[in-house]
Amino acid sequence: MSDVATCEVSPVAPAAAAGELADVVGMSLFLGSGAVLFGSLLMSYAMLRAQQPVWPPAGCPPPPLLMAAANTLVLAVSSVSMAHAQVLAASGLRCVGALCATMTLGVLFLVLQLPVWSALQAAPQFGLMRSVFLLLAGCHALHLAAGLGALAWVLPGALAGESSRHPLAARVRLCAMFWHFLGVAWAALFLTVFVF
Amino acid sequence: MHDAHHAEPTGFLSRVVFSRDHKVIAKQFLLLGLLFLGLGGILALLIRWQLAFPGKPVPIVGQYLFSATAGAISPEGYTMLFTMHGTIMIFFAITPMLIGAFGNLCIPLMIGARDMAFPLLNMLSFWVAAASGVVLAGSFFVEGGAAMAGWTAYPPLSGATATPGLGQTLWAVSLFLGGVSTLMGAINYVTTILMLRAPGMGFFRMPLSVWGLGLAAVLNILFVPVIAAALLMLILDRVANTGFFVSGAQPGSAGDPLLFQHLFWIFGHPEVYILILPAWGIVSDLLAVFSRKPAFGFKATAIAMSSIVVLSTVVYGHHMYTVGLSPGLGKAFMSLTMLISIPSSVLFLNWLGTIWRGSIRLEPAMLFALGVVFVFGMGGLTGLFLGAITTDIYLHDTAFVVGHFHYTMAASVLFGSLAAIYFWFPKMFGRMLCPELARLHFWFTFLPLNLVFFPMLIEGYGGMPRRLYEPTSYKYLVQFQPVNQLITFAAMVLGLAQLIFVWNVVRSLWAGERAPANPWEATTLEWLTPSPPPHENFDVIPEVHRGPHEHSRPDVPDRDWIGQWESQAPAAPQTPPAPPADSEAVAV
Amino acid sequence: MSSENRQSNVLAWSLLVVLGGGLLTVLLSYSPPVDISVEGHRIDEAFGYTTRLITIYFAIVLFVMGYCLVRFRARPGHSAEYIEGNQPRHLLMTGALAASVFMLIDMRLIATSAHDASEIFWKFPTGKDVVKIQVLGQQFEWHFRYAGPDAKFNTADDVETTALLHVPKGKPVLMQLRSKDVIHSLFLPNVRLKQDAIPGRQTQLWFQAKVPGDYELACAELCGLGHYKMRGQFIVDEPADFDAWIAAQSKDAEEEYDADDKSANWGWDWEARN
Ligand code: HEM
Ligand SMILES: [Cu+2]
Ligand SMILES: [Cu+2]
Repeated sequence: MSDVATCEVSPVAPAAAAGELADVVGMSLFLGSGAVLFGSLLMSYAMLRAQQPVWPPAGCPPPPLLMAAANTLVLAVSSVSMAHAQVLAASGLRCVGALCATMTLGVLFLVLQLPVWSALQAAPQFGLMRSVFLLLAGCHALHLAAGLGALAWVLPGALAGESSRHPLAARVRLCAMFWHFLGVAWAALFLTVFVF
Repeated sequence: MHDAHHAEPTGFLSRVVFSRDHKVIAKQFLLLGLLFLGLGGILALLIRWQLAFPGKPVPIVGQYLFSATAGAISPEGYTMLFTMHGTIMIFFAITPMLIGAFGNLCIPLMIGARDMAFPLLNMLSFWVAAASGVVLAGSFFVEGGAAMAGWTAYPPLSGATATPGLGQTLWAVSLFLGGVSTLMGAINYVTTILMLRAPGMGFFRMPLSVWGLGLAAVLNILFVPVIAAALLMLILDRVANTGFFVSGAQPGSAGDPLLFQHLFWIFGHPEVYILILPAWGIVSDLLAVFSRKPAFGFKATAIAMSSIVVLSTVVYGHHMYTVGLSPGLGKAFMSLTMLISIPSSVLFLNWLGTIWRGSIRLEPAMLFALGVVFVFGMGGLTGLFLGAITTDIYLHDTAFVVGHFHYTMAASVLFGSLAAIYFWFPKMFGRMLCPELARLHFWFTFLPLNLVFFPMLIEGYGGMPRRLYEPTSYKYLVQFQPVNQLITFAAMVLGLAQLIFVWNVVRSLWAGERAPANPWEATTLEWLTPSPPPHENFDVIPEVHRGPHEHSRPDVPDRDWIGQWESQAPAAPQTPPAPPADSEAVAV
Repeated sequence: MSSENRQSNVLAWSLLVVLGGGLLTVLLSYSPPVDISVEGHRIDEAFGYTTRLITIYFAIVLFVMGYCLVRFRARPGHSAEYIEGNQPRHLLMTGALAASVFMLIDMRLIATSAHDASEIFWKFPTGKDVVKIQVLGQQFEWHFRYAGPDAKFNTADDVETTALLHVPKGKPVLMQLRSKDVIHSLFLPNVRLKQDAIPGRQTQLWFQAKVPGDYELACAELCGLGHYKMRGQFIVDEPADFDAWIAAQSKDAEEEYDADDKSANWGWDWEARN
């Protein structure tokens, strides 16, 4: 086929740019549906909670606000370092450090979830509270693990410097979109489950 | 990922199995859908047997399938049958056929793209669908058998206490995977339509099939996550002992069974439009092609479809009139539901406007498209009774509902798929189907189909509840046994008639006449390519000069069509650019 | 050849019409169970006139379709007319037709249905002569409970029945429904009503019967393998017979009453909202 490759646009550059734009569009659609997913989960939680006479349910200690706040802080910082990595990559600078920092913070976030989990499991009457946390935080944690996977996927490229076929900056941008989305989702979760 | 050209892969695995070519993936989806359609159809016949002859051993196959009960269907078996029939038909037969197969085939070809925006994702989408199909089909063989809570799987019935088996969990897992696959496809479709249209292909120059498929994809992106949330909670309830849907009256939990119904129908109502939108689009295009006219009111049709998309998101409550809605809420849902009949009427009027003063060619694809107009009319009009609160209170959960949704989903969507197959088969496989067999198939499908689903409306109005193992257990329903037997007989004819179709397809694949590039003298971009199109579809991306149905233009001499790709009518009359004698030669 | 073709076409179509018409007549001769309620006719009427209107509408659609198929069939010397249908006058015409269909068919259905729902079927009666019944759905039986002479539920004189519903003619009957396990739906075809019974919630249903007799009640919502067996007898009594029945049953019930038997005393305080 290559002999007929006479597309009216001259190859590589514009086509690649269009491809990157398509990636961004695709990622936005994906995040849109992710937002609906978390929205549905939060809405379900709101509906169940609204039916309770008291909240937290009788006998259940209030959710561990401080630990969750620490979680939130870690994730917020990781978003900053992610944004930093994106800026660096976009201007063609080395972003390995920032990426590694983001990943470390992400792992730290997951580790910090453990005490929150065990605090909720230990509660004597953990019915609804446990269910909600298992669902919301569990779902978020799985997505975050996927985000870590995505970062691991761009890391080799970042170590090796620019690759011409898959411009690093574009890939880092996609990761950043996903990562910030996770931050926003966690913020919504933190506010509804732990603060209010 | 998006380089302008890929060399065509050469290995068997990468060309046929793990192909990223949208045309191959379309064929894979078609095969998947047809296989499950056959399976679902067999299940339907078994259901029908039990309804017509309750407790009698099933002839021939009974002794193998139901050996424990001497060939008769037990209540357990029956419940599994209709649960799996509904699930399979909706998520594994109709969805893969229309959205999977024709979404994949049509979108890139019709908008003038070389492939989908994300070919790898596209391939994954198929394999995840296949995996979820395997999980579902496999659930028949686990201990306790397949799911038994209906395709709607309302908790607490679908919960671990009422239905403990592994089958019900696998059902939920399988649907979740199906959702993942659908989502991957939908993201791909929307991105492709937004980004990869050929130069000149404005939105109002896209064929209505692409409109229908694209709008369905938008609905999928918005609402598949909602059912995913419900399924996640259902799975957790079943395996992790949470209590989202276990009523608060029971100790240790504070859930609400109705939460599931809300989530299910927030997704479920758009889902029925997800299925019908592509069929509407395809029908609108086909009526135009075979009437040799532009689709009447093209823009109005596109806008009507879009407004139905918007409305479909706010009407789901009409499935829940009997749960004890507040009257205000009930009335709001009713009024919104009824509003849908305005754009629906627009569609009908435009279809009639399209064939009006046309020059109608009754090719098989056209027969099926006209068939959709009929059966969708039946389905849509009977829907009025179910959208209105008071009539629905009586008809809800009766055979009337079964008749109604089979007219819309089973009949309309199925006919849409069959029309699509008859229309695009030559493009997909490079062979023509036999039109005589196809006509026979049409009549032996269309007539029995009405004998199957119309009497269900009558039975439902007679008060026959759906999902009933033994209709004769109610005295007032005994009088319907002859009707039940009539339906079952018609269903058998309907099932047998599909063998005509299978034979036609199999025969044509081997011995069918070679298809020219544009056998129907149609105007959209896929007909510019040879049949079947080569890897990456177009040698040169065509430029689009006009709308999608420019038939019978007075200013085009000598022929009654002009392709979207043609800047002006060719001087020499007739014949589209002749395909190479052996189109496979191009691909190699 | 072509005239032969035509003949066999005509033959096929007439056969189809005769057979189809015959079948349709037989099918349409089935009617729903007799309506024995004061308000049920509203649902029948809404069904009836909507059916008539959509039949006319659909007949017109099919007629136009058939006309086109005959009149505008492709043949030598005939060609299609180029009509895009995108001009304002086309849009106006389609819009006006669609709107008038909506106003003729839908609006009327919406109006009656909205009125009947909020003013009749979902407007629950109050007052002294209302017969109160508590309903418990359970796999796979319907339980009914009457307060008995003391007019209080969950007391010794309660009358409890299984798969048997007695109501008096001529008095509004108000039911509260709950479920013990999964969702059920109480379906009374002869009064055209059904209402789900949902665990963790309480729902309501009311009607007034006017024709004494022996009818059936059903479960309409799939509730498990025995769903099809969840049938009950539905008896409408003359008021005096009903009172006598309650009195007799209540006496028996008091003798058998066991305050400790929790599962037998499943009733609740009438005012409780669950
Ligand atoms: C073409 C032949 C078909 C026949 C004869 C048939 C027949 C039936 C019957 C007898 C039932 C059971 C109704 C009851 O339990 O009262 C049923 C249920 C159902 N069918 Fe079909 N069907 C057919 C095709 C389809 C198709 C193509 C679809 C796809 C959209 C479909 C979707 C369903 C659904 C969703 C249910 C409900 C299952 C449930 O109650 O959980 N059917 N069908
Ligand atoms: Cu709906
Ligand atoms: Cu039931």
